[in-house]
Amino acid sequence: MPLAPRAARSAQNACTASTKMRVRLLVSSRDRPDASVCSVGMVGVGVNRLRQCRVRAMISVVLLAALAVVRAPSEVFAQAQTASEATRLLEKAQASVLGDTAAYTLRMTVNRTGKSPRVVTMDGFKSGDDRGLVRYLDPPKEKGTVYLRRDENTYIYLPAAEKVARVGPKQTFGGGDFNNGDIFRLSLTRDYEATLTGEETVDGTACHVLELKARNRGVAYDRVRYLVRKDGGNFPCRAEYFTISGKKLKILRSDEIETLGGRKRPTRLVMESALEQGASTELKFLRINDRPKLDERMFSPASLERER
Amino acid sequence: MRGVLRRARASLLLALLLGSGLKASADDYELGVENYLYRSGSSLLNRGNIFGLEPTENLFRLTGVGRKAFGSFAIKASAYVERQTGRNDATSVTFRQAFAEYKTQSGFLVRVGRQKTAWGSGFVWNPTDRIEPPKSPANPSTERPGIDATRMDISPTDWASLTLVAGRGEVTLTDLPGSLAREADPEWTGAVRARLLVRNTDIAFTYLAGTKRDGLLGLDLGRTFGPVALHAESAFYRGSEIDRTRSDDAFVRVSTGALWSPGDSTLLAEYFFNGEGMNDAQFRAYTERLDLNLRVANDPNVPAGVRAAAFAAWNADAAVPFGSNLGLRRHYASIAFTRRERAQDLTANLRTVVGLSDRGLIVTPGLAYAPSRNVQMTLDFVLLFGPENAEYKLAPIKRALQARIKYVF
Repeated sequence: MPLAPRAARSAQNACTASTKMRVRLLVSSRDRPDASVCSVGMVGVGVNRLRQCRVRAMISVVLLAALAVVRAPSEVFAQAQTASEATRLLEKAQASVLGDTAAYTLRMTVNRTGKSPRVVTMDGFKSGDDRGLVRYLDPPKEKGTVYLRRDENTYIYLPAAEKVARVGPKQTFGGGDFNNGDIFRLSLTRDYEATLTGEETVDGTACHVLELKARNRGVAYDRVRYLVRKDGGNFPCRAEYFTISGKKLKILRSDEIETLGGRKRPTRLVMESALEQGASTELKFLRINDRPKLDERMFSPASLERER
Repeated sequence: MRGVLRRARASLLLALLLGSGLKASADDYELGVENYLYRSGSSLLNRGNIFGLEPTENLFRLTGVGRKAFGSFAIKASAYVERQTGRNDATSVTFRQAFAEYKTQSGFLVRVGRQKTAWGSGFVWNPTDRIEPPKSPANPSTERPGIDATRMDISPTDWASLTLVAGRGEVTLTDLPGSLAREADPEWTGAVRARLLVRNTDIAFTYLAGTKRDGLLGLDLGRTFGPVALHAESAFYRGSEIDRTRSDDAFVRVSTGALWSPGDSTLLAEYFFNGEGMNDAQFRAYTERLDLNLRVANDPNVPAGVRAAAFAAWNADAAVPFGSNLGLRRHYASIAFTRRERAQDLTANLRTVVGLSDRGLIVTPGLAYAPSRNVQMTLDFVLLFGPENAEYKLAPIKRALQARIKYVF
């Protein structure tokens, strides 16, 4: 948000208001010189008093204008501070789950009403905000399926078809409630503009409430309501995902804070569908290494072609 | 030479089977059953059932795949035993893959043996992947055999890689009843492919040449725009694949399309321009030549030598649709829709291929079902429609049912 134009606009509005006030004061005093409305208790005064009154009025106007000028940037500054605080909280919340670089093992459980859960175990790798790779280990019938995210590109390798294909970020990830964008959205701060809007208690835990607005339409959701725990660690607590029309699509819960990979972090993420009752997908981290030695060449589509 | 290769592949399979008792998590084994059931009939190409097909032709296969890793080394074999019933009652063994490889995380790979290259961004047509047998546009999901080759991959950076392949393969359509699957001499082919990722765009340059190929230059592009992934795969080559006597001609093929995959659905649209395909007049001349040669070959009043020459000419023309080409006509389009049931046990798909030059149509509805963690079942119907002189109605096959079941350990 351009802060300078906003500050200037606020100051201009304040000045306009004070100018109007001054005009009203002067006109009033001209119309009724002996009955000034310059202030309460100034009715029936003489010319000198009138001059004094005008001077006082001018001083008041100057003071009001000065106050307005001082106050407007402070509001803007406060807003900017809130935005930067929101971004800082968001960055911390993301980093609290996985470090900048990570190798992990994940178990995904897809729950559907009336069906036995579908469980997929996978190895995942992350390098910075731009690169991620997930390889299915189990069940046997899907073993070898690989997802690769690199910058804005997402690829899938399907062993049955022996084909590497580009796919979109809105495609469902592994038939569950997460989509590719959820799994590989490696930097929320890059995709969304964050604002700190208040506080809320979730399951007895006080949380900051962040409003995330999509910076572009390429991302999976238009708006996200993102809650971050206040009780140290800045762990993410809950997120609600909305469409462009404002319809709630999904709810993400982060819990089971345990020590994994040498530090405390949420080890379970549960995505619930807001549209389909009883539909949810759980991601449970089984192993995390925040300092793996990764060769960046593994995050290339050519590496997927060598999977077969 | 062939005997040596066959023995080597059989030894590899035996080693995998013996090693399966020591199965580690990195190893893969699967067993399966495939059944391809065809209904045959008379057509422009099969006047009076000259191919001698039974009304029902069947290919039944028992399949097996094994892959075993020893650190950076791995061996893999994939083979099937086929029992064919119909015109030919025969049993045979075919290796789809049988190779040994050394692979590192830094992108280095050396692979020796029967293997697949399977490159190119096209889903139905791959004009740059001309080493292997072409995919069947009716059902691109069926598994093709690889070629006997040596391959090396090098990745100097994380945005560029180079692949070198030299191999020998039989470039004919597969999965057809025996009397249609033509015997062809293996062709030697060498290829180099450079793959780059530049500014979120996949770029691949391919060059390949061989004993029966003067040279092919390929360019492959892929990029994602919002939710849609676009691709364009093109090839410029010398020497006709439909009529090898036209070796001095140069042709262009382009396959371009878009993949949109919102949620649990996938929609694919692809267009294919086959530069060496026949126009209406050429196609009419081709079918008239087929008819004329067959009439002469069957005419008892014609001298035996002329009849033999006419039959040979007919035979050569009749082999064209089953050869290595990617289609006889110039313009094609394909639309495929896949819908995955949310817990992913069941996937329904509908594939269509339209011959824009002659209004021929292939419709392939299919289902994939995974009843347990280890079992995958696939069922596809292949239905052919269009006017009698359409390319897809030339074949003596009227419809097909392709069923595949595999158990993965």
